[in-house]
Amino acid sequence: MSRPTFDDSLWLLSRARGPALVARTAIVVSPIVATICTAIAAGRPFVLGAAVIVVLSAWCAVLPDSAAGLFVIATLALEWIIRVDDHTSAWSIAIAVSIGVFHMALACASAAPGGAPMARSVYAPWIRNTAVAIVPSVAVWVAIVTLDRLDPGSASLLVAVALIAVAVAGSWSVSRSIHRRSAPTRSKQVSL
Amino acid sequence: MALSALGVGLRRPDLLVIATPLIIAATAGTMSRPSSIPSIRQWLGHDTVREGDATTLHISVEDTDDRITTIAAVLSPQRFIELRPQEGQTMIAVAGERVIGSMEIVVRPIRWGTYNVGRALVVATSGWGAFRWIAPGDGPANRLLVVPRPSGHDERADAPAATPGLVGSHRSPRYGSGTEFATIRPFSQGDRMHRIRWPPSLRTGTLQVATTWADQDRHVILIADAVADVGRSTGIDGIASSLDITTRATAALAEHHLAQGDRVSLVVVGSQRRHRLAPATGAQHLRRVLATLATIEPAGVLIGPDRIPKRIGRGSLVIILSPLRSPWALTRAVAMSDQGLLVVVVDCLPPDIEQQYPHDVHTSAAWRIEKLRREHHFLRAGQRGVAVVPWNGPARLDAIVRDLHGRRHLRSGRPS
Repeated sequence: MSRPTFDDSLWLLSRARGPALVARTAIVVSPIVATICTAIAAGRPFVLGAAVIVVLSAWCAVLPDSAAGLFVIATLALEWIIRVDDHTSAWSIAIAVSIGVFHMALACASAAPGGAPMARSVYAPWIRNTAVAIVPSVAVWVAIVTLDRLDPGSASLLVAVALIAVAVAGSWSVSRSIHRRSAPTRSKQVSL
Repeated sequence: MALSALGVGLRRPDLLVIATPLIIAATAGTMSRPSSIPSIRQWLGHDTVREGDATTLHISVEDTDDRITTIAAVLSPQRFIELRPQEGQTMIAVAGERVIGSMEIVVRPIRWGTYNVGRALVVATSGWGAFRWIAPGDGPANRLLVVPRPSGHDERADAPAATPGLVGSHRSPRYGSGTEFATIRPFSQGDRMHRIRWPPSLRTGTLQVATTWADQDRHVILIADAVADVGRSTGIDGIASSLDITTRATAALAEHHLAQGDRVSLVVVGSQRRHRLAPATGAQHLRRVLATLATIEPAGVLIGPDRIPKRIGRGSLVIILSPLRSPWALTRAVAMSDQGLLVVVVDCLPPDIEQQYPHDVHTSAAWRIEKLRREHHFLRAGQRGVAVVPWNGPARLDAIVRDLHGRRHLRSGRPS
């Protein structure tokens, strides 16, 4: 059996029940919530962006292991960068929560067939991980607001340190990748 | 990471807030990344089952790193195969169970035939969904041979007469060298001297000899018509098509006669593959018969009537199982009967065939007309000594065969 096709995925979606259905609903709803939050933060709606988000998120619900999820997050981030000028807006927390829920729901849906009965032991870790991922956003927002009020003079140094930290983190992530070997199974890495 | 870099580069700290969940998920996912690839193995519990019985597809995942958290499996649904859990989809959490996770999908075929159950799509996922392994679709196919379940409705039938002392319960239909007394008849050329019975010879004034039944079991020839599959089939628990009735009836007859020690041979006409089994007896032969029936594929045209043996021993019982859609079965049955063989034709057309098309008035009417035409043909075949009976079970057929046997001996002046 090869990788599931669109028809297979549509069939799996039609069989989704219980927690699997909740995950797929979250995939559609959370980007829309993020778009609404962006519109509120910007003070005006953006119909075209919302339409793109709806289409892409629906595509993600059918094919959760496709690359469409990356485009959804990129579109949401781009929309935020272009339309929202307030760098300390509290709506960024709502966007972060929406993106976190979307990401975890997408990962859960790509790991679980729609019709499979999902026991509590299966879905509970996903809920816990989602909470662990989104709660620190509040702390980061508080830190940013605090730094913004302190107005540190060495902004260039801070940017340089941050860039180096990002580069080190990226390098560490790549070094942990599994290289393909002659094993009886083939591996597939899911892009984060 | 890109979002964070963008936030730093554009001096947009709010992007760091947005990227925080992704950074945490990426970091945690990377830390829980296994260093080796798990091995996934799957196999079927049985390769041959009877229709309606279930077997299990076992799936085993071995993860030496203990980093796999969930295993999911999907087995593609197929017609006539029921799967549990629902539609062959299952998922388990293996975190904390260490090393090995295993799951099972129950496979229950509801119709005879050969099936390729295939291999389940198995997906093993590490924590945070960061990494995923998909079991390869290649490898040995899980083939399943589903043999027909013999059908029978013999609750009200008399038990067949048993003849103790022989290998089979049914004595040989021929006279010959044996130990069981059959009858007394006038002496003819070639009779052995020790067979002469003096008391009746003295009474009648002519030499009389005792005849015996041959010490040989009855030969039953099963001829299954697989030219076409008439009607709908929904499996062992539902509606049966003509081929369902044919295969299940053939299996029931084979099981019945082999259990009684008779020699059974099988010829399938109209199947794409060549199906012909030489006469034999025993449990192993029953398995051969069932396996042969399970591989029947209707060709749609009449092929293989030449597979019916030309020289059938006199006294053999020939049972033709056919939906009788074409005249060849009745024609052949009458010809065999004319040769002196004991022939029974089992009508395997579904009795409710016209009711299988409730929304098609024309088809339903056509079937009613066809049934009238068949009744006429059955009547004519009956006049030629061929019994055409609906399928009601092997013991019912035994009663009919005994009746036919008796009538034939009455006509020929010999005792049954």
